[in-house]
Amino acid sequence: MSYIQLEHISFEYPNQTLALDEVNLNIDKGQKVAVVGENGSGKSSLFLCLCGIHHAQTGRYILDGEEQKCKRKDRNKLFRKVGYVFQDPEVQLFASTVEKDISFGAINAGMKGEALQACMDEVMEMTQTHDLRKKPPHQLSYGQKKRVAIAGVLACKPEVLLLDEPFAWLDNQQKKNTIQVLDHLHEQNKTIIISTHDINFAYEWADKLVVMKEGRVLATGHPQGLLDNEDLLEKAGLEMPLILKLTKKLDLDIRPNTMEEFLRV
Amino acid sequence: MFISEKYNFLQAKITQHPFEKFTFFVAFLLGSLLTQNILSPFLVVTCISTFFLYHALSVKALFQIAALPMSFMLVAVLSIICIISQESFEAIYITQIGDYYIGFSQISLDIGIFIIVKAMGAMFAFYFLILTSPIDEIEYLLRKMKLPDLLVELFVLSFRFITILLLFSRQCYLSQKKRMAYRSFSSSIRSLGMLISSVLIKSLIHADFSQQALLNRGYRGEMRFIEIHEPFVLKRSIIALLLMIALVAIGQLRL
Ligand SMILES: Nc1ncnc2c1ncn2[C@@H]1O[C@H](COP(=O)(O)OP(=O)(O)O)[C@@H](O)[C@H]1O
Ligand SMILES: [Mg+2]
Repeated sequence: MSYIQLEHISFEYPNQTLALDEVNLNIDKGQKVAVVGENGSGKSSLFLCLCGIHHAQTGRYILDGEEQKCKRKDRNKLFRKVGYVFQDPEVQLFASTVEKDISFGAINAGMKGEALQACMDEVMEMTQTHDLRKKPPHQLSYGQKKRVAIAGVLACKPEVLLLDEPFAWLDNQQKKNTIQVLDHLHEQNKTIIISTHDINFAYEWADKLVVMKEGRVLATGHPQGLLDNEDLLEKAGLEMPLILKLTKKLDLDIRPNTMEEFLRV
Repeated sequence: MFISEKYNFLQAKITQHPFEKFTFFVAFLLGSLLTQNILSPFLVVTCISTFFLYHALSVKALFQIAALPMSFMLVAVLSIICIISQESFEAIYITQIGDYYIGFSQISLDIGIFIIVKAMGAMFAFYFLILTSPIDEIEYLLRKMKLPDLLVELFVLSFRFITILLLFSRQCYLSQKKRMAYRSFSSSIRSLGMLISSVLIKSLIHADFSQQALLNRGYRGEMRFIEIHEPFVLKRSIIALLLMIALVAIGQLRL
């Protein structure tokens, strides 16, 4: 049985926008999942349902063998397990300094004294926020805010991490740093789900790709299998990854995983 | 933006325990309020100015922060110094306009100066606290003063959200201005209305998301944070206490 199971999940906003329409999805523990799709295809709504902020009107959501109901106690447990990094870091940072903001989730998760300090050090080390620790959030640059927002969620020690467009508006270096953090988390066997518009990144990084359109899951599977399919790409409004374009153009038989591999060939 | 943000290099330098800063603040404040003469508030202002200048605040910046309350005070004190009367009175300067005599006397001038110096002393004491204590230390002090948690959290959240809203309104204003929204009076009024309503909507949406983010990080109606400060040095607080006694004593002298 998969770690995360969604069965016929439908979710409607109060203004009657059907954001998720009969979504079925299975995700294993430790998987790296990328969700792609146009704007408004329901990626953020999917994440909000997964982390328990929204509750789907119909369907079953099973996490780690337990069905998630909308009861308050269950929800708090779900929050502990699934961390959500918002696309806009501004909405997440609220404390008067970076350090306090990061400590907030850890203290709520019941950490104290040395455990708390160790957790903070680990998280700040991973996200490179150590130097910012005394600064108030409004004095940070966008990239720094984003890192602090990630750190704040990591400090709660979630098993599943959801990141909504983690690379939006980041420069190349910041993006690389973020990818490093993701890789680090992958080594700790955390399940990572991100939504992104960067199809090249999704192709190289993900174990599993979820293609969404208008609230429905069009296809799931390994990115190399899916992104070859021109019909699907057309339908979902996606572009083919650069590597695949090149291999097609050059009529190569191989399907390299990363750009480096491709260049070596 | 905020004055404490503008000169925040001071906050970065002065990292002593917030309570020590607070005792000095109280010493300065009481020194300038519990006084019969202008000497002790004058000493307070000099002390704090020297402290600021020593920590590399420029003279220009010092005048700027002093001028900020000064303009309000002058207007207020003018009404105390000026005497308007229908009869002539003993004065340093007096002039007659119609039936009225307007001028100021020695006594009114003395009172005016006394009030201004006293208020400047208190103002500088506040500057001392604000410019040396970052917002999280002020939060710490408020908590230690046993203010209800709700109020302290409101204070922290307001500060945070005011900074966001200010930033947003500024961007919004600039983008309107670039599209020539403020060229005539009527379009200015209309644009301002749009600005205010969009800031309002934005803040509602923001509040919604923020609450979701807080819940996701385990918020259960109580905000607790890690507190890390330099160790508390009793010696410095005793110095502050002595300073306070000295200032108040000087303030009781009749000059
Ligand atoms: N708070 C909301 N209230 C009503 N409708 C919403 C809200 N948020 C999103 N929607 C709608 O739900 C659909 C899916 O949006 P979203 O999940 O944000 O897509 P994505 O993240 O893929 O861009 C869109 O049609 C959007 O208009
Ligand atoms: Mg989105």
